[in-house]
This record gives sequence, C-alpha cells and structure tokens, in this order.
Amino acid sequence: MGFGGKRGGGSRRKKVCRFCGNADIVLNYKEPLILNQFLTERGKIVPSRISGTCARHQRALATEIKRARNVALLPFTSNLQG
Amino acid sequence: MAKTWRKYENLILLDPELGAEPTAELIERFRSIVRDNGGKMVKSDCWGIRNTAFEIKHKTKCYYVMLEYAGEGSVSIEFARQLNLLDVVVKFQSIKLAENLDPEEFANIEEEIKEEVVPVAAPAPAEGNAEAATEKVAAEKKTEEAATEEVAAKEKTEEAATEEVAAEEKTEEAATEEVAAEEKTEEAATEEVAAEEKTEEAAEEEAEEK
Repeated sequence: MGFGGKRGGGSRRKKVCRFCGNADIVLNYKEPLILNQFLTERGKIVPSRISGTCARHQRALATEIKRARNVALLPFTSNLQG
Repeated sequence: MAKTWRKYENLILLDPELGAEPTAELIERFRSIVRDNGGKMVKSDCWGIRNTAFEIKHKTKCYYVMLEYAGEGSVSIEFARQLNLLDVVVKFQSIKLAENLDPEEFANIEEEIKEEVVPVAAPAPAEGNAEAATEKVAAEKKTEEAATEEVAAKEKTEEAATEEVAAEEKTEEAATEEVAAEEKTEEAATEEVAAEEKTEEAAEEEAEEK
C-alpha cells in the first residue's frame, strides 16, 4: 500500500550517467559507435530516464546525435517496415 | 584592432566515384579557398569511403573529408558558398569549434595532415592498387573498431552494474520493439508514466497479501 517504503521491490540499482562516470568516453558526433549505444533499434534517441544519462550530458548527446545524423553517420530512422 | 578569429570544422561528403586524383585536387582547392580568404588550415583528415547510414542523392557510400580551419567568420561563409557550387560535394556540415581567438595564435601553426586514404571506388584503377587500397581501408576500419571495442569493454567492466540494468531494459525493448510501445503495454490500464509505479505497487500489495 505504499507505506512510504521502497517501491519496486527495492532491488533496482540507481542508474548512473555513463559520461559522468567515465571521462574517457568522448561525446562527439565523429564517434558514431558510441552514440549508437544511445539509440533504439528504430534510431530514436533513448530517453535519459531509460539510459540514466544526466541532464547536461543528455543535452550534449542529443546535439551530437543530430549532428551525426546530418552527415549520415547515424540513421534518422531504421528501414523496418510498419 | 584586428578581428578575432573563429575555429571551424567542416565534414565534407564527396562523390565516391570521383577517383583518387580529382579528390586530392579538390581537397587542395578547399585549402586554397581557406587561404585566399585569409584563413588558416589547422587540420585535414581523410576518412576515406564509408557507407552512409541512409541514401543521400542516390548514393550509399561517400568519401568523407574532415577539414579544420581558423579565420574570420567570412571564411566559413565563403567556404560554404563554394561547396554549394560543386556538384561532387554530396553534403557538408560546418561546426564552430571556438570563437574569440587571437589570430596570432595560428601564425606559427602548420597544418596537420592525417594519412590520406586512396579512394577505393575509382573508375578504373589498376587491380593491384585497388585491392591494396581496399585492404588498407579494411585494416584501418578494423583498428578503429578494435579501439572502440576496447573502450566499450572498459566501460562494461567498470560499469557492469549499470550495464546489467541497461541489458534488462534492452530485453524489454526487444520484446516490444519500441520504448513507447513498451510503455503502452505496461500502462494499458492507465496512461501516465506515474501509473507504471502504481501498478508495481499493486503487484507488491498482492504479494504481501499472499
């Protein structure tokens, strides 16, 4: 009944922003393989609530993904039918 | 006082069927455009022919060239104008890297030229050369991939915890294909995201009752 305790079984780990946690990852449109990890199969940008990316890096990530799309390094959408 | 400079980065997609020499000439022409307009080349990097993520002007491959240069704002405008006039330029993107730079900073900088990859899809190159070129490209790609894989591997070991969570989510996504679809199925009864939590609570309650 939600007695103010933990929800969801309490086994959920806190998501960590991968760019804050590891300074080695370059967030740049010229690294499509890294950016690709933050796209769904259909080529949509994965929301930060799913990936755990912090707001600041999510903004930068979105910009870089859009830049990469402009020069065809990343897809705007997949070729899936339907 | 002289105007401050800006630093730009241009990624240019050239026609892959142009051939080695015309491509090299074209890149030299780009350099002269920058020089003639009072700019200074900082870096040039030929990525070679790559598959594009989607078809552009009926082309699935493009010859990628990265040019980094500094100069007044007018240099980039003129450069973009010239690029638009060329038919062999499939697409290009200019990005401003920095502004309010002192022109004297660039006085002694020499252009850094990275190894240029010979275009593979030249119209009628000698067979040996073409094969060597393709091998080169393949080898470079492999090293690139290996590097990225290493990075990925490091991340995985360091952030195994978060990866697991991501993996769980991915399996969920795979089942439903789309994040939106996933939410919809999960929240069939209600519509808002908050509702998801509520259903979880309900599940908990059931467990407690049992």
